[in-house]
Amino acid sequence: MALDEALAETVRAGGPPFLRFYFWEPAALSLGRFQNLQTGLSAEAALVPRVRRPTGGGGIWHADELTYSLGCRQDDLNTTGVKASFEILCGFLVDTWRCLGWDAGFAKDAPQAGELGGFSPACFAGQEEYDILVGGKKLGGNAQRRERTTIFQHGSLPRALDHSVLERLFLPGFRPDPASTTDLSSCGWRGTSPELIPVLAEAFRSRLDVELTEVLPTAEEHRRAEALRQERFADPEWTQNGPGRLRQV
Amino acid sequence: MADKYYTKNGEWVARSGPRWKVGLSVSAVGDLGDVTFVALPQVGRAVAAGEAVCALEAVKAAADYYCPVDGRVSAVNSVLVTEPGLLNTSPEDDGWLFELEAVPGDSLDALLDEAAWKAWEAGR
Repeated sequence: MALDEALAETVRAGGPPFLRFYFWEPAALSLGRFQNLQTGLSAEAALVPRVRRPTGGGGIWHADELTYSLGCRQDDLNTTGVKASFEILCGFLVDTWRCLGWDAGFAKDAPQAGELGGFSPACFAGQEEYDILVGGKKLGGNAQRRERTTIFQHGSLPRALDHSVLERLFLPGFRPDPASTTDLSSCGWRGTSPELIPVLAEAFRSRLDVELTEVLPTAEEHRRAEALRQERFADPEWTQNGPGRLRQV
Repeated sequence: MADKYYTKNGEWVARSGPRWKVGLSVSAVGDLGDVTFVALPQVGRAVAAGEAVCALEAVKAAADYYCPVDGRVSAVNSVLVTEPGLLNTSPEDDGWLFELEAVPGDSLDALLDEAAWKAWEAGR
């Protein structure tokens, strides 16, 4: 998470846009930027590894999954709209799933979608217009942080959701419903999560008509990430309260 | 001098007696979606035009918003702390964000008056 923030800072400072893929070790619960931990989370959720994301949205248990992050300037998308940017930046996921032969689309276009909108403490439990449904079920989740000129977006692509763990982390009434959520494995992905990366990267390149160059974060970005980790992401108070729970900035 | 001005980012500033209220346009809030959390500035804080002064969270996005003009925060709409959805239902009236005192007239020069704002929105 700290490295994501360091990369976002590079974009903010005028650096190139980026698309990053990564995995979680150990498994951990990520929390939305301003998520109130008093709502919907169990006592056990306070005992597992946790981190607070820079992005909005609800909590996600990251275990057997592939995660992506991307950062760009709003100018790169030729739109300042939130919804328009989701459509552009999540389009490569829809393309990927369709290439695999899956019945995929945005929730706003799906006749079988449930009620859209409304915050859920568990990301996978809610449905929003630009959530992606496969066979009518929500696959993964995507959320943004927006500043005046830049957009940072996270996305979670679970290979195998373990609802028994989700039932322990989220209180009744807030848990993702197995009947309305799905994962890559259930959709038919038989490969590993790393094997999905080149497929997604090619869809991203094609959808946004961009050239992707494979690079590693710079030494300076790693140094900055370590500083951010110590100042913020590894700070239990930051994780507990977030940047805005004092209500005043 | 007009009574209400907008930025192209969707923030507005409107005369309210001797002071100026600041908020977000109908289109800006509509595009963000259901607002679930609002972080407001400290009363008494001196703010500059373009300075990040509010943070909002909607269902899928956390977004910063910026002060349209120079000034000093004299009040905040604390109702939004417990009722953030007021921003969705009344963004240009009851859902104002904060109030400024001592707005210098020339800091309004860079903004769009209502007619220019409507024309700009229509052209998007």
